[in-house]
Amino acid sequence: MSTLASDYPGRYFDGRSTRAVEVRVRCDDTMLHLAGEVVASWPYAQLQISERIGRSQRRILLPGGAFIEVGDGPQWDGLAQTGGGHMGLLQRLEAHWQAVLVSAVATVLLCWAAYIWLLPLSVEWVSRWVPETWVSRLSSESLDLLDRVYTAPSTLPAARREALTATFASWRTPDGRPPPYRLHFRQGTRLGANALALLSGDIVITDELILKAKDDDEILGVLAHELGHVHARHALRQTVQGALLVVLANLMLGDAADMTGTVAGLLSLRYSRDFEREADDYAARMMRANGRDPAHLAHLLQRLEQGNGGGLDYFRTHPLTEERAHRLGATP
Amino acid sequence: MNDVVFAPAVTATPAQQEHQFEFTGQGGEYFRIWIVNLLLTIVTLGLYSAWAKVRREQYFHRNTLLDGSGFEYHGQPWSILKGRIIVVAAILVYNLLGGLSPVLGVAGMIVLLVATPWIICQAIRFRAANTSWRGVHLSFTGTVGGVARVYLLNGLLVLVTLGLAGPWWLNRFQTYLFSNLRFGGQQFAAYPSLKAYYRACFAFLLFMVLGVVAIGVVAVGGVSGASTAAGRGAAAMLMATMVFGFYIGMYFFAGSYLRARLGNALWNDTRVGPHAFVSDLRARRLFVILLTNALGIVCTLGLFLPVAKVRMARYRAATLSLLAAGSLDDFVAEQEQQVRALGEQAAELLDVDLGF
Repeated sequence: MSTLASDYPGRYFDGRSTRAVEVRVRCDDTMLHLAGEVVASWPYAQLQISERIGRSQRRILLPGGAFIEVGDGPQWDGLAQTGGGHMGLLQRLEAHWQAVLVSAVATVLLCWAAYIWLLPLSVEWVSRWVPETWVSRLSSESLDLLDRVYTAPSTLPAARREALTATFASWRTPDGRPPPYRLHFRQGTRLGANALALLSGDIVITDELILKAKDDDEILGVLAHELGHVHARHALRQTVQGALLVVLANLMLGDAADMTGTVAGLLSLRYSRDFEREADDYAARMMRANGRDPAHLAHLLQRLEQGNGGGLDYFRTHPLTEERAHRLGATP
Repeated sequence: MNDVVFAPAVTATPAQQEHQFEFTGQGGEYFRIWIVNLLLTIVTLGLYSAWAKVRREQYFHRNTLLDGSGFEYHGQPWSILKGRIIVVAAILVYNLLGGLSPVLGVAGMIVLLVATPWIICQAIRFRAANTSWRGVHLSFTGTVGGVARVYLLNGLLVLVTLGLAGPWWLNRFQTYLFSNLRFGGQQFAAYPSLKAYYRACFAFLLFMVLGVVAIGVVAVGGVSGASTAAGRGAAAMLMATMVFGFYIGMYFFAGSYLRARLGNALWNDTRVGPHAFVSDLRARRLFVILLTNALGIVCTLGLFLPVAKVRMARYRAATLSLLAAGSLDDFVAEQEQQVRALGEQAAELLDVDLGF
């Protein structure tokens, strides 16, 4: 350690009262000396220096609870190395702008990697451990909620409903099994032309959607799409992933708790679009397996879009219709 | 409701001296600390967050100066980690119970509700006990029963009156928390005016209602004014964007107003021993800071967050001062109480931080 010839202003506190005593602090090779109203000396081995944080004040902790407040400066880091304190990895990381830049880039990359790979994996893993009773309770609750708030009983003729149910029951999934599902017909009212897949495999389709369809194959295409959601347990994965995202966002952004909801919501949009693509692919495979053209589904999607008009594309839960239609092999 | 508390009027006598709080942190400086904290938290899958919290709190405490001396944070990372593990475990158990049966779910919710006063009490105790200035610690003398009364019991009245008692509830709650702080043998005393709370909350509601009405009038007028269907569509899109922007603006403005008024009402009627606080938050200035902070955070995908936090701390410190009656040298640490607090620590797991 180099000899520190000059002395520095400081304030001495006895650790029992807030009385401030102005002192001068002087360091030589072996001892720290106080001059002024308090005159004393201590060997460095008996002292501790508080860690550097930014450029904030430092504290030299004296034996017996007393301490000296001093301004920040490199001279104390030298002392800290000889005394009990240390100039740790943190201070070195924070002190160099290159390290800060690397940290920033690493943080962004790690967040991105976690979002792309780690989160879907953990969602997959957690979903497998969710008890069946929980799943069935949640889905019966969501069907109740639908009926209370969003939908009304279907007004389609019973014969029409039975015919659709029978046709779809005669279809086979891409791996050749009868489709496992329960079909519910509802009047959409606030949902409009829509179809939903619940956690348990219940599929809800609205009268409005059925009336918009030109032929039954279009409707069956939609049902196959929803079955794709059921098959991949998308509703459950969405629930689990929503919870995980909120927890993660809270951990990362501890400083801005009120923003985590929004951030988690925005982050889940991408997954929701991935789910739609997955379900579309499943529907296409299923339609081909049953000798139907997947373009039927695409046509219905395009017709629905015309009814809706544009919107803020980035914030959509579904991929763009043209993109979906293209994947399903429809001619524009 | 007995909200009138007579306090000696604060008048500047020659013996009084105003000490301005000061925040000396810098946005760029805190950015470095924040990004390193964040990186280590991610790399350790969240475990480092306890150490990160200590470093963050130390930065903000040490850079907050009163009469030239910084505050100090003494929280230990292991205590914070313990608290976080308890909270995460509780959330997991609660969710699992709810999944197993609705009855257990409701039971879990009741347990959580009953535990809230304890959690609040514990969080404030930990924070107060681990904050010091010039070597003397703060302490919180409130009890779980006391917090349960002002938080839960009074909360029932808010439910019964459909929210009308809301400002009263907040007033009583904050009065309780602030009046139970101690610093070096001196008790805090808070007696914020109930009228000020009602006035601030009423004005906040009025702002929001007027804002929504104005939006409605402009939107309906604009859309129906367009002649063609296409024009109506375009007008509707434009309106939707404008309404969104306007609403955000209203929200920030009314929020800033509420925050400034309530903050001033509370601090201007708080004393510690013979010394009084003076708070001079301005709604307009707060609005500008909050809005630019939000814009900065959104535009930089969150990287502006540390700068935003420093700007806020700077403004808060610059608008708060201590009107000292005499010298600030006379706060004396209470040795006996320290010992007693340590005894309680063992009994009540005091060294667990439940505040996030």
